[in-house]
Amino acid sequence: MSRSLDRVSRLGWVVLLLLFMLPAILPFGRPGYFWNANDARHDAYFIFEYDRALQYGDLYPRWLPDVTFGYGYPLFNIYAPLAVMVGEGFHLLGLGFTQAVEMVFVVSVVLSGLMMYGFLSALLNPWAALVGAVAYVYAPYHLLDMYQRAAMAESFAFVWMPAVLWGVRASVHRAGWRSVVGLSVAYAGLMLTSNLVAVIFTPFVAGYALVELARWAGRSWQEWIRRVVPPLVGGVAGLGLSAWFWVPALLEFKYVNQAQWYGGYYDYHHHFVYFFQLFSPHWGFGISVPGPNDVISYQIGVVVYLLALGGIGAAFLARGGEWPWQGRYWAGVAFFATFLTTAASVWWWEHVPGVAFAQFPWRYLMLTVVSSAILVGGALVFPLPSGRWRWAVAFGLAVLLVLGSAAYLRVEVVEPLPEQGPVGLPALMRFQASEDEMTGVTIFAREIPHWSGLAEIMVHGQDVPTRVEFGHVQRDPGLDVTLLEYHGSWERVLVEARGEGHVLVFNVQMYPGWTAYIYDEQGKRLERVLSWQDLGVTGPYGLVSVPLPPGRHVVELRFADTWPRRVGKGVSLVTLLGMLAVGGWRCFRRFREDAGE
Amino acid sequence: MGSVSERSPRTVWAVRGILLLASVPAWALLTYPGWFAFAVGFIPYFNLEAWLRDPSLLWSPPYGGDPAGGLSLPVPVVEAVAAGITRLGWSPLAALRTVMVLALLGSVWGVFVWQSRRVKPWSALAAALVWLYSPPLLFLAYRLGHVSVLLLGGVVPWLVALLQPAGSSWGRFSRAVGGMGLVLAWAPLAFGGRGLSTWWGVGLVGAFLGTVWVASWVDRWTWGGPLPALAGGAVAAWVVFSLVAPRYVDYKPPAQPVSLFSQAPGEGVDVILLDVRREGPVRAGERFHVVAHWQPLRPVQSQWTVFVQVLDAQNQIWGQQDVPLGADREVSSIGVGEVITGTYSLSVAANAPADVRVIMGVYDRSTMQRFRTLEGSDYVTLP
Repeated sequence: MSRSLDRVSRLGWVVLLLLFMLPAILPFGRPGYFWNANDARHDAYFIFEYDRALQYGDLYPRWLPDVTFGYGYPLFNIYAPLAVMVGEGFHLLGLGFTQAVEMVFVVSVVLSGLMMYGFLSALLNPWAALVGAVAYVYAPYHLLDMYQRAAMAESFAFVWMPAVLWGVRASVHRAGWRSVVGLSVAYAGLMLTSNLVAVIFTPFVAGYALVELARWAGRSWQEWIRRVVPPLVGGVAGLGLSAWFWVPALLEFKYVNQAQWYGGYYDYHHHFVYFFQLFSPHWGFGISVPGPNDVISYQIGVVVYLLALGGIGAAFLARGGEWPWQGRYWAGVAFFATFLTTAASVWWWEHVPGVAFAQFPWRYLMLTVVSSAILVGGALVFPLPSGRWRWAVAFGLAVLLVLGSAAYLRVEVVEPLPEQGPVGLPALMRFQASEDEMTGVTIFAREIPHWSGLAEIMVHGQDVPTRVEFGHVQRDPGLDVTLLEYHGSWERVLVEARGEGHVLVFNVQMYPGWTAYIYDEQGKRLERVLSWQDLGVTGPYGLVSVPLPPGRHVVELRFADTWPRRVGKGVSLVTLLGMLAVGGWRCFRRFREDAGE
Repeated sequence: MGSVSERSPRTVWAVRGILLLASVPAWALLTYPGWFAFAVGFIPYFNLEAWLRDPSLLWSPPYGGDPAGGLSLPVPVVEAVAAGITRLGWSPLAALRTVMVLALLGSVWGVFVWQSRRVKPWSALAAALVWLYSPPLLFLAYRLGHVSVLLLGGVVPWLVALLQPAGSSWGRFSRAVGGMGLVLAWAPLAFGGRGLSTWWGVGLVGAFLGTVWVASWVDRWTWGGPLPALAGGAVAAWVVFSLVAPRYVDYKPPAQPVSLFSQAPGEGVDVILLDVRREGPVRAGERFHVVAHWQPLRPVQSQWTVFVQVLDAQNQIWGQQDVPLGADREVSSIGVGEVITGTYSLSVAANAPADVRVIMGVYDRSTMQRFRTLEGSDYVTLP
């Protein structure tokens, strides 16, 4: 009876929390789309490209063939895909691409609030959890990520960060199989949502695990080991589950042009946050610009900030319990993360490996949001009035947090310009041409293209029938090519090379994974396999060129798995099977125990 | 949570730490590396620059205490402190902003010390935060820009704290007065207007007295530690920053303005001509451009018009352009203290003599009355 009452009570809290989240979701209910938000177009076109790949039967397209004016780019080999996959899920359910993007944000709001609530209710109490979760959702940077930056992956990462902390806490305290699985899924989810966030968040998770483990420092070593192993296993299993993505991302990122990710406009020196910006109440729509006059806001939020000080106060005044350690740790994280957003931290950016991975210094505000939300919850560690008044205090603080950000709850819905939408190949080409976005190149390209023959076809709404560079074929009188079959990431052609020294050039950028399979004339017998190291590179855009043997052959060019991708997949498969085996064995044992009883 | 004595040294230090951190949002905006659209414009800066050039001006700032015609308070402390700060290598603007930060910190700290002599530290914290985030104080800091008055606000609480005997309590009457003061503190938001009007003065006194009521009220509560104080501060900060958010001015002023114009001399400055530059030679039959930066210290009227004229020695006009001060902007969108850029293009008549000069000024199109400079002229001659 008491358990069912407890469930009802928990459900009540969750329903209340969902009601509090409604104002954050409502802006996405406006008809239309926020085309001018920083990454709003990227989001829609990522899902569009993923969807096209799915139509070709590619379940996980590491290579996007239509970007960079049709020369393609290995985006999902280096950029975590989970948020896009969720968006594609909504698209498959019947939503348009832009609606699917908005739904990803809606889901991220709901789940991030619930995860923070779950973590804080495990750490503190339901009142603190409610207020902390509301602070988490309504922290200005969280809202900025959604409404202005339209940073789909980063916004979705807000779901996993508290989930990982919850998993760490649960695995240390309960040391059970479920908590280990929960941690591994949460960590894998974070890695697959945003490897960037995972990298900058992981050291702070490790620190948090040490804070949790510090409680057992004085116990026997067996007890300590019993507490250390589960979070360690959970973390490693999380890495294992996501290895299919991060192993190749880690090892093959060096083959894309780094300057397009970290150079020029993206040079972090131009994007440090000025101290006043952390507290400036201004709110606007735009992009990050060098200097102090950004239109967009990097504020912590005065309400969140002041209430978080309550949590810090409690950390230094509470005697006994966990909060003194927890609160001090999260206060440290909040200050350090905020410090990393400012120019005062430039030494850290220039000398400490990993720090600059965040690309923009203000990205560390994510950690400020996480830690300040926890601290806001911690403010309710102080004795509260009893009964109804306790409710009133928690409810009042939650309302105050919503009101504190109420002015920021808006998206800028506009009609799409021709270079924005409607989502499709023509607008994708116009978007690339007008903004020089989604035009990533690999290290094999000497120039960044500004248009292409393929783009000329696609901008008229037609799909390209082949990636073969026929201009090159026409210039080679000893070469004949007949198209056989074309898919997004592979193509088959029949070639006749009269004599030695002929090459077949494809309109795809060279990158590890491109492999040429040379068959006999009937396309049955495989005669030769040329890995990407055996292939040539042609022209300023680093296009793949396949050296051809004399005679008639079927040539297949395919974006195949490299060894890092195979290793990553293997590790993930082994991890998954291992977890399933352990889980199955535990179920079997429990079944036998129940049967024995 | 285990209980902690409300007056233990640990609590007192914790409250002080929280107060210091809680004051940050109030003064952090003053670290913006520029200036603000103050009602006094760049006047405090020009006064400081003038004094740095000529220390004998200390008691008579050349550009006045309150150019908008309100309370004139030529206290030399600001100049003295700011000049000291410039010796550290800081720019005059940064020095003035630092004085304002110190004033706000001194102000909130003074109220805390004053109130903590008679109530619990948490309650004194609440009083200090409600004072710090009161509309008159932040309006003074971010909209009016009266550095001298702000500095006064930083000193007065300390004087009161020194005069008030330790442990003395407040009667019901005093608390009632404090409650009314709190109402008065927020009233100027509705009635205060743009300048340092009586309303804002009353509001400032009201906010100060209101701290008595807040401290006494919160002192009765036994729960939440600093939470009620911080929540109260958060409510006040949210409301006040929603209504009087600072407006940043990204403009590097010269050491002295070209001129200050007034529609009715003796009733304050209306608009400052910050700088002006001529592009191209002034020659017969040719076209040249003038670029000027203006700073209105009163709401810009649509009739306010800038004139630029090419005159010869007999004051005959050989070229002229008249453009609304706000150029093509809606005057209602131009805030007091904002910097407006005006560009004027003139053609010099083909038969103009070689010896001409270019003058510039402002007039009211509805009355055709020219504005006067501080020196009594109705135009300035361009270099």
